[in-house]
Amino acid sequence: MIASRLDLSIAKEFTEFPGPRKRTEGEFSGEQFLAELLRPRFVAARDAGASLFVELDGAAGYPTSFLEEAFGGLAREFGVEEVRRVLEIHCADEPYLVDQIWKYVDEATTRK
Amino acid sequence: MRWMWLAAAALMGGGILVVTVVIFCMHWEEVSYSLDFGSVLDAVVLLFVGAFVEYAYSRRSAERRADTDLLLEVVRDARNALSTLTRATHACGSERLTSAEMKSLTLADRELSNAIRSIEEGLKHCDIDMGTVNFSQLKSVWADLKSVVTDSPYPGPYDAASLGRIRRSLNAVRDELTRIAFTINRR
Repeated sequence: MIASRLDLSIAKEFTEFPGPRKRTEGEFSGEQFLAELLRPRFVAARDAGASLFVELDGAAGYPTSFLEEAFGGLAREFGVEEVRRVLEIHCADEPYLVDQIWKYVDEATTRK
Repeated sequence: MRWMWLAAAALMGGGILVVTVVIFCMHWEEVSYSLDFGSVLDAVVLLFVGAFVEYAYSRRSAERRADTDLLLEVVRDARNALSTLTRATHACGSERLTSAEMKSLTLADRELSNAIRSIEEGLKHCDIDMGTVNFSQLKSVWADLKSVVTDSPYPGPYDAASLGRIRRSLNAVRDELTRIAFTINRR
C-alpha cells in the first residue's frame, strides 16, 4: 500500500541540460543522475512505502542514452516490477517521453 | 487512366439520353399532362428535400476539406521539425559534439517528438481511426530515429555505420510523413 509520495524534479535538482550516458562521456550524465539522485530517492520512497514522482518538465530535452542509463539502470538494479510499482513519471513538455521511459524500463533486462 | 473513365461515363450518359429521347418520341402521343395541387406540392417538397440534401452534403464536404487542410498543415510542421533535426545531425561526425551541438540536437529531437504527437492529436480531433492511417508505423520509425540520434555513440564521435543509420532513419521518418500526408489527403 503506497501511503505518500516523494518528488524528484530533474530540471530543478539536477540539470536543465541532461547529458550523455556515462560520466566519462560528459557532465550531467544518466549514470551520474542515477547514482546521485534517482537511486537514493527511489530507495527512500520504496522503504517508506511511498511512490516516487519524477518530474521531467523544465529541461531542454532528454537524450535516449541519458534516459536509458538512468531508468533502465534502475530497472536492472531493482527489477521491472519494483520500478513500475514505485515510480510515477510526468512530462508535459514532451508527453511521448513517458512511454519511451517505460519502454526502457520494460526492456532493461534484455538490453544489457 | 482517368480520361478513359471520363470517356466511358460520357458515352454511357449520351447513350441513356439518346434512348430516352427515342422512347419519348415513340410514345409522346400517349403522354398526358395535368396540373393539380397534389402534384405541385409533391414537386415543391421534392425540391426542398433535394436542396437540403445538397446543402448538407456541401457543408459536410467543406468541413471535411477544412479538416484535411488543417491536418496537412500539422504534418507540414512535422516535416519542418524533421528538417531542423536533419540540420542538427550534420554536426554528428568524427569529433565529439560540443555542449551547444548537444543542446540543439536534443531540442530539435523534442520538437519533432511534439510535432508527431500533434499529428496524433489532430487525427483524434477529426475522428480518424489510427489504424486507417497506420499511425503506429510513423511512431515506430520516429522512435528508431530518436534512438539512433541520441543513444550510443551519442555524443560522438560517430563512425560511418552510425552516420548511415542516422541517414536511413531520417529518410524513413520523411517517407512516413509523406505517406501520412497522402493518406490524409485521399481519405
